[in-house]
Amino acid sequence: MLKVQHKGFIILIFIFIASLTFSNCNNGDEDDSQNDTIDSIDLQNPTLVKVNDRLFSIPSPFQVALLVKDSKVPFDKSLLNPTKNQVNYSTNYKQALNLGIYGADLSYLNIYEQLPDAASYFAVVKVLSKELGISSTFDEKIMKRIENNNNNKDSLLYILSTIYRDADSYLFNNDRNEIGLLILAGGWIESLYIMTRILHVNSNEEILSRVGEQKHPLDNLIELMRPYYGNISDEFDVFLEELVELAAIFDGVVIEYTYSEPIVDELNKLTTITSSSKTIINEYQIQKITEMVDSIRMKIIN
Amino acid sequence: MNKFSYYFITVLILVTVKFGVFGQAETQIKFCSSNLTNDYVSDGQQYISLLNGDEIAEFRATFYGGSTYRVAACSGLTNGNLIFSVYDRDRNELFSNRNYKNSPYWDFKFTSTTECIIEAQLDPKGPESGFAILLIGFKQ
Repeated sequence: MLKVQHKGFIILIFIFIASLTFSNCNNGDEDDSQNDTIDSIDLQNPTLVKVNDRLFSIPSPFQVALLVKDSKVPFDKSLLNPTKNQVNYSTNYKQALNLGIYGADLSYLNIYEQLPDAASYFAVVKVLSKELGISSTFDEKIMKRIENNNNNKDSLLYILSTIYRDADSYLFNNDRNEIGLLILAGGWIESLYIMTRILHVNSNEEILSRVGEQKHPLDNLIELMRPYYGNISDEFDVFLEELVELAAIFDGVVIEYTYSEPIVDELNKLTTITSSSKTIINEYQIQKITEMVDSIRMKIIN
Repeated sequence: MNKFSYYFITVLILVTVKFGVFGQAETQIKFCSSNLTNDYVSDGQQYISLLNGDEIAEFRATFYGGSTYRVAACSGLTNGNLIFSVYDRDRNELFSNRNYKNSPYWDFKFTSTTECIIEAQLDPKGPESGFAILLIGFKQ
């Protein structure tokens, strides 16, 4: 028995040494020369793998904030989740969702240059990050950068998005992918909420289209969350079921897509995608989406 | 050496291997993010997959019309090891960096909101396995 264990131990030693050796393999040589064409790759039997165990990406709430501002819609603080609600979030589920919500609120505040309010939202994001065990994303270096750039909205948005990306990476690397998903979901719900509330008072065509365009991101979000159904908590399951109900409303939204040849500017490394899409969404659908999002969000923030 | 020592060292090795692997990924993400310059705001996510041989990493993303995005794609700590391609939902190829010397990043301007499929694979001329790292940013 001891001999078998001894052999197994030696194998492990080899694995350890190999992992250290091959960890440097990707550094490769410094030769950057590349042929213009490469040998054909055998795509007969490619193996598809998921990225981050995910097949889908969710559009950033930071970008929605930019769209809202560009649409000349006035700032409305009442749209945001008050910071005082943070003390009510005692479970990882609520903390993660609201970390996403507050992140979306923060980007909204930042875009509208409401920087004193943004400071209090940053504080809440920091507290929730700590409670979720991802406070390393708010290390001293990051806090210093925030302080040094507290009058520069562009830099703050850049820093904020980097924080969320680092948090996403940390959670994935520590097998806490479901927390990362809840943060994404919270940010997405808040973005949709802000857009639907704006439509309530200001019938803006661009925002109307953007709401309809959430059809596929919502489907993607549901697919991301589905593997965790029944394995996290009852709250998680109810949330997912509500998203599925919301997706049923979005099913009626039509997105017509027409392909068109892209235009490449090789010098500037830019490709313009000229394919077109048209979103067809009616008042009734907007109303139902608004009611449903409102209801889902209420449960999350209260 | 007694049994306890074997178990302890075994656990230590397994933990070191795990964190060693992800430590490399973190270093490579930092390298890759140098291609996402300050004028591009991260979408708040990072896309990473460990690839072997001809495996292809794939994921779907929605890009909003009227916006310009940058996709940075890296494997390892030198540029040019990762081939990435962008397709529309009907699998029309919109772009592939294999046509541009495996450029580590490319910008995309979308006139309309488009659902895309992004695939990444290791350059067959490079290492046989490695992390495929993709970062997406949008222009402010």
